[in-house]
Amino acid sequence: MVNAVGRPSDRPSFWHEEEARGTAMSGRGATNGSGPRDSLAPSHHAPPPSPTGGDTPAPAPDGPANPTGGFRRIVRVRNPNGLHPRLADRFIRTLKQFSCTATIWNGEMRADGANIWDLISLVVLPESEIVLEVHGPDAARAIETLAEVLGSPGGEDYTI
Amino acid sequence: MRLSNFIVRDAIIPALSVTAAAGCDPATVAQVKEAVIHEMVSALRDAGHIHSEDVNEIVKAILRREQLGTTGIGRNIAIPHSRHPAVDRLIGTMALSRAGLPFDSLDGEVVYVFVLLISPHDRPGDHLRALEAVVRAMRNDEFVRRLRNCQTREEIWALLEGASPEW
Repeated sequence: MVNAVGRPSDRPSFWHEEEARGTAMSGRGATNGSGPRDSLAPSHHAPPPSPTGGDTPAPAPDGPANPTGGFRRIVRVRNPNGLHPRLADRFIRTLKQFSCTATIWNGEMRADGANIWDLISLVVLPESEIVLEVHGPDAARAIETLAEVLGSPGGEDYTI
Repeated sequence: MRLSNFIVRDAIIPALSVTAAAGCDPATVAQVKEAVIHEMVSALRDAGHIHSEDVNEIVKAILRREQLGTTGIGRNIAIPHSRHPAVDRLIGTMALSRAGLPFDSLDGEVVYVFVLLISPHDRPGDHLRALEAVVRAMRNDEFVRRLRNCQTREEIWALLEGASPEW
């Protein structure tokens, strides 16, 4: 699994690099999208974060998700248009401010939080609850900001 | 949802009339965007899915959306889209550019395949599912290769209709 930990902030984004790589593969006549990027595609096979019961979703929400220092949080998407491309783009831009990787779960579907193709594929409807996982040295700060982006109504122009 | 569920067959454009050199200046890119979007929306009008008096407003709405962030999502694909009250259900069209067009894409590459979507304001789910259908199809390099090899509207439509459910 490719990850973005340690990506210098002045370099092109991880997903940008990956999508560019996909284009190059196409140009060389690759016959399918297999490879690192697609290994991050939403998957029905990946195990979802297991709820602990009721609406207390993932193990230790807001707490360390695993010994490597990740954090996990349930977020309700309040944007009236759901997790649409503009919101996904805002999430990715925000993620770039941190030295973290982010994964978003919508039910059993998983997306690399740095990949707009993945995020669009999640089909997160308005008022859905999703699980945000963040890993990296500044994950504790990042999850606050990223959850705010996902959970905010946005104040954007919803008419377009 | 599949592409053939919302793409209007008679509005498919197998070869856009718009041309531009790669690496052109931002002003030219903006002109290219407007020209592409206008041609695609006009195709929906010609197919009888949009009233003539709504064309300019829809084009403006899609361009406003582009100004908030490009829909050139990389891998030579763009999905210009907007919500607009002129439609009562999700509709879309597809267009190919033979030479590729600059579209301010996230990966800096030209765009060969455009899928334009217009949906009513009260159907965010349909809008998101249509976007997912586009992304799902365009992730498949073989599908994109075959699509770009299509020369006619009929060939494109046959590909969309005959595509496997995974596409």
